[in-house]
Amino acid sequence: MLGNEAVARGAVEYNVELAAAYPGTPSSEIIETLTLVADDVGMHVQWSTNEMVAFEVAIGGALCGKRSLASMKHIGANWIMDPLMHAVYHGFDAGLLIISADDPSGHSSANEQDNRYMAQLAEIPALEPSDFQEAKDYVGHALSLSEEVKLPVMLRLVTRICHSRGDCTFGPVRREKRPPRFSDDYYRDFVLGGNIVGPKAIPKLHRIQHEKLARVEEAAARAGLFQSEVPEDGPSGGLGIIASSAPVGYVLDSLDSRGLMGKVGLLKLGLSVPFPEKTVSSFASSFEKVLVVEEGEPYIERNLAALAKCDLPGLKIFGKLTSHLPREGELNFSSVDGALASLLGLGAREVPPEKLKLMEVSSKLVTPRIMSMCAGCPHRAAFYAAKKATRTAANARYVAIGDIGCYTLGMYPPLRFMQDVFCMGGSIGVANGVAKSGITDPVIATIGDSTFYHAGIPALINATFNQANIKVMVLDNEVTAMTGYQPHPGCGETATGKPTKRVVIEEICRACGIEFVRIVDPYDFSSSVRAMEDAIRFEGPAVVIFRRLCTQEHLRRARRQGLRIEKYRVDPQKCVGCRTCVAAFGCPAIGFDRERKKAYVIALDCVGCGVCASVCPQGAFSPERAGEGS
Amino acid sequence: MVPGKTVELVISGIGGQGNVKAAQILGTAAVRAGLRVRVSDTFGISQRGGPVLSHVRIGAVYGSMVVAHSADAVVGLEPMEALRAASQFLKPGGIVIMSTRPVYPVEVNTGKAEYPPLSAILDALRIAAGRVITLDATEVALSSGIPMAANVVMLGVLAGTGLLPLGPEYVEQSIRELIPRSVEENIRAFRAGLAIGAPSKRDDFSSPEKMAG
Repeated sequence: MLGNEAVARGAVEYNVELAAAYPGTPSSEIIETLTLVADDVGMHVQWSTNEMVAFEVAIGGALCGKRSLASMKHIGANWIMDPLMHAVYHGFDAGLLIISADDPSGHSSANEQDNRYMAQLAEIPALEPSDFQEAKDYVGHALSLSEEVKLPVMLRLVTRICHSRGDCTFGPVRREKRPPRFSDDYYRDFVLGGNIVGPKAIPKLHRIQHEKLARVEEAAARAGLFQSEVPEDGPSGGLGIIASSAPVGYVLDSLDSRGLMGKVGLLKLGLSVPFPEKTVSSFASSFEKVLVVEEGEPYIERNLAALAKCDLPGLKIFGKLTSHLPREGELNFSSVDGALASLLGLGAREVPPEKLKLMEVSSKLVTPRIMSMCAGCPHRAAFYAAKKATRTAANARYVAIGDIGCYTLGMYPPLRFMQDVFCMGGSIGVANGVAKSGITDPVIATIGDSTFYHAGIPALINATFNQANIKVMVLDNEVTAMTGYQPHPGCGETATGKPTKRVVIEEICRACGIEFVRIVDPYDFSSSVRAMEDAIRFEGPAVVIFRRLCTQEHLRRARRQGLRIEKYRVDPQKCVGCRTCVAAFGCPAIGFDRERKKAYVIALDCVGCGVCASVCPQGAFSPERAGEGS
Repeated sequence: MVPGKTVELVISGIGGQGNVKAAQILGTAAVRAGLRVRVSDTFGISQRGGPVLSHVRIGAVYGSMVVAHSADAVVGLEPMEALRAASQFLKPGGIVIMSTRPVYPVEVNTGKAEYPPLSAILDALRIAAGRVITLDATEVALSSGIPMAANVVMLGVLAGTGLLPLGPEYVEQSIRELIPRSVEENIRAFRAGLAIGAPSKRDDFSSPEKMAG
């Protein structure tokens, strides 16, 4: 099962009663899986507006005695710092779990941040499962630990756990409906005590937190979160390894392949924050050299170095800081195996000669494959229309700032619409500043529907408040598409498929004081161009909502309803080979025959959106008639 | 079929071709056959169109990613992606199963890059591969009544080579378990692949004019 599914299974087995999240790769499948069983097991599961709200919802649950969790991708966790820094001074009767899915190498992310440092900053424990079994079991350990020391606990996952599959043995499901009880301990202890804020109260609360933290290592050891093996007949090469998270697998594979299993010391840290000094010190004291293998920043390595300075002065420490392992990017078998080989004086693995040859030949043949939007994607049509409008209304001069969603791909060739991209909601916020910097070209912000609800609204209010002359394109495909089509507040449906009131983007825009709000169908090319031209010419903040259901979601519904999709075709008589459709518009369902110098439609991929017919200067595209074939 | 043997596979393709589903089917089949298995996918942010790699490791393994130059087979749903994956992961003497239907990258459509001729891709693969099986998996899937099942056809070819440490019945069982619609068409597509992959047969199942690229 998928690592994320194992985590969800853990939430069911260990009686989580409330789970909230905003989708983000690689974390989304945790909540998606829980939505499937929520009603059966009596768990409240929700997609929240953003990560901060999700975590606050989880706090609310824990405050009322329900085991609660909030899950998010590593960058999403940036949003929770404010409530988290408050929550740490409170105590909850029920376990409160933060699941952070880190993405080393940034497979689906804009950075490689290591959220163990977030746990360190907030002074809360962080657990690091290393395989699928632990992904499930550690949910239970984290909740018990949270209840024992009365602190929120982070479960730090990485992409290779979240998005890998492996075997996992289930435990019993023990569901228990705890009666809700709002805990007013904090109020009684600190407010009625007259010291909620101020120079006496805050250090006192901080001291209590430190006392809680001091009990964590012992509790984690009792729960079996540290597993160490020190070879009896003297360690091979005097080397010990300290590892955590997914790279434990690479260490075991490497030792196994070299016949060193059980011959090299190994300490697996299932908890890394707070740094388990006693455990690490006692393990490291048996060795002359220690190799630290961890995903992300050299967090364990640095802490070990600080510890060794006092406790183990002769110890030699190897890892990312000594360049034995790469400092950036995710680890893999080869990097770990190479570090082990060099420290044990063993030969490195040679690349077979025929593979060297193949790699050389192949490097000359393969070309990079830039990601692109799907065939029929409404975003492509919207960007193409907007680009045209900037030519007709602004001499092709504009500044466009994007943010995070499928529409980020509008940056890539051939559209090349946005010139820069920032965080969730960052498009409107940054555009506010660009517009106030004295730039006279139109300033455009592109944002998706889900992102608009998540983080766009305060920045839009700011545009009205400070009268920033920005043009906001809301690319509304009526679903959170990039992370897997999760519903958002505009969908009229909750995470578990229950009908709910729709929150309407145009109503929000008008309520935010935006006087120019236009809604267009991006497949209607001329209306889309006109809307953008009008927005550009309008003096003051303006919003154009490009509304059309995500193609993938549309196709899924069409398949379910048995609807036939009418494909398009190219009339070779009319096509002059100008390549506008492939080189400027770039729909992946259109190919170009180099010999005949004609475009053609790849019928299997065409979804029948018909935008190509508007884009082609020769009018060479038209719908196939039924029965005519391709 | 050698029970207990460790088998490492890489499935490469483009988002939307069904890599991840194929890997999931194999992984589930291995679990049902009582084998230890690890599966991992790498893909970018888009739902469709980007390169996707799935790693499948069956046997006594710990990590979830196939080690460089040690894949027993590379299954390529697209020719250039087959070459890209084989160059990085294929073990010398390993098997390459390649669907010959190209998906052109944007750079090729815009005329900024050349798509390599299929003959050059094949020549390159043969430098290191022990066996290269080529077919138009989409065509085979179409004739099974389900054009989207190219990934299932490729699983059939893989199972047909005898490389997997589990019988094809486990794969069929997991197809039934994991594909909600058109189950019988998918089983037919799998069996069509099975026949193509069987040893002692010819290895080129793509039509000659398609081979010319």
